Amino acid sequence: MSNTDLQQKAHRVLKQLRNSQQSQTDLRQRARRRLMLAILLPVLLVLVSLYGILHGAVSIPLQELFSVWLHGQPSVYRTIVMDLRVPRVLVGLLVGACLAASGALLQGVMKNPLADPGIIGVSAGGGMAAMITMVMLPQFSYLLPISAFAGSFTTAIVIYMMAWERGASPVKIVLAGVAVNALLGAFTNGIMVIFSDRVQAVLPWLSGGLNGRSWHHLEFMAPYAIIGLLLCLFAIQPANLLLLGDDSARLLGQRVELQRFMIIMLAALLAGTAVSVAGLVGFVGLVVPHMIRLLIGEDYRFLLPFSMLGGGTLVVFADTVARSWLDPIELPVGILLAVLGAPFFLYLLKRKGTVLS
Amino acid sequence: MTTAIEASGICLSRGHFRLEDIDLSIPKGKLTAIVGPNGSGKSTLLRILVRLLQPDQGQISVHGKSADRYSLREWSHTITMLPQLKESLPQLTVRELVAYGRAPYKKRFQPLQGAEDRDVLEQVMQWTGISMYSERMFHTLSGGEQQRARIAMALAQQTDIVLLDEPTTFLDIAHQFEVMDMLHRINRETGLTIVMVLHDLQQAAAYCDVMIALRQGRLAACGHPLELLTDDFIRDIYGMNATIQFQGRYPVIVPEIPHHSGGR
Repeated sequence: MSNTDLQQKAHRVLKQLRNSQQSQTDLRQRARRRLMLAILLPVLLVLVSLYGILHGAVSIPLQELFSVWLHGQPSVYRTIVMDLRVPRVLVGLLVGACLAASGALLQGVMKNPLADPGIIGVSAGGGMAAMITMVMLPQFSYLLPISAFAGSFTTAIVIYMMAWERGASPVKIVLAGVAVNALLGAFTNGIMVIFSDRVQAVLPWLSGGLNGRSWHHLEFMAPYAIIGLLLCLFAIQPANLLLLGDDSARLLGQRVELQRFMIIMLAALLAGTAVSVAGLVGFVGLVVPHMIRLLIGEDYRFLLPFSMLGGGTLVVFADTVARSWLDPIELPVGILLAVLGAPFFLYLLKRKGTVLS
Repeated sequence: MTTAIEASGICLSRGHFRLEDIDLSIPKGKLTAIVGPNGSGKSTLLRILVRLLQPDQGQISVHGKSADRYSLREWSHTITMLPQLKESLPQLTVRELVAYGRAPYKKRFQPLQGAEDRDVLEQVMQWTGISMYSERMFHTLSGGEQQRARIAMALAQQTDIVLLDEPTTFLDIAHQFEVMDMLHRINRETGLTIVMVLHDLQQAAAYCDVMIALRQGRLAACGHPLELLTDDFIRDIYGMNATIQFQGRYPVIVPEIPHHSGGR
């Protein structure tokens, strides 16, 4: 064997060794990160929820919280905790979980890292329906959550139908989504101009917030949210198979069109539920699943539950900061999330070898 | 010779591209190569055979039963295809990837790597020689190893027929032969019907039992590769002049190089 042959062989062996070492670390790292998140996220969620309950315009000492719960005597603290903060935190958790799960599902089945609930028309449809209810039919304003929900869901179906031509490809759905979003945005703005005297009431809703969300809102949204989150269990295997590509999934006996439709409708249900009580809260559906994916990969068995936990935690945390930061002004949480989320997303974009590569 | 796939009168027209009136039968338990110039419709034909694409006209039957009469599940137990390596795969270990091949046998909440699947997974990873990589991350493998892992996934589906779209493209020459050797061995040992689109006529002739040639969307020739592969064949199908020389059983295509193109 000549010298060059030997060198080449040594080079090959070395390369293989490096690859296998790399793979070992990848594998171990993945297992470690999954375990870490499985412990960390629930703990964080509990801590952040406590922070949300204790913190705000009036700070409540921890021992007071226990006495509220243990003794249950009527007091100012009890009113603040039980009537204001607990329902608000619970609504925040559900809103965040729904939005993040919705985003995680959409990014996978649309094969588009930028897909988020906004793209399937949930925001625009819900926004317009809410606008119409509030400014044109103010006597029915108690129907606001239902109308927003109906608007979100209808728009998602319309966009899917528009994109249909021998099957709905992800690209077409995204393009149809952009067009329908623009159209509905124009209508919404038109209504705002025409009914400019009544718009004040809608603005906080449009910018997305949890201000004044109570047991009533929780009761309205919880059934949809919980059903939607549970239905995610059925989406795990199809979503994982769709990651292999449409052809491969079809060859593995999957009904790709049907599954994509069902998953998109599930995402619409989840996001519509969130929109109906919290208005247009952006970025959670985009940023949270990306962060989780970055840490533990795309396996939906882990991605979905971790995204739900992460989304809920993020929304409650952001809401608590938003309402105590500029006290006595309460910022809508949607604004704060955009302020935090947009730069963070740009950072992700710039970082080498991440989600979008 | 029993047939695995029988196609008759397949027509398809998409814009400028068309497949016209293709009749063919693919023998059971053999290695069949589909060859032809770029754009001659090889991959399209493969997609039609595996029901990923609906032809405008024509009939396909598999094991004597019309393809339309297979349920989706039955179909995925009978025939599969390995697409060209284009789509990037999610980050998985080799074993996780191969286990996806078990999906057609699963109900919704059954894990892809159940106890009864383990034997199948071990078996196909052994056939493809990737057992020692089973816990490696797929993306850290070399091109040839990745291709073998993808083939293992198709094999884990336990179909009677496997179609492969250019299984050797993008591989270096050593890996190309490795993959061809492996497919040949699996075919001989298990009687699996293998159909593959190939660009390399020499490999097609050396390894396959039947060669089907397409030209401009029509069936141009079909038969035993060593009989088919002649100077005329190269001229008719590819429109180039070359002579075929045999090194033992291995055909070598020597093109006529015009004088002005260098060399000594």
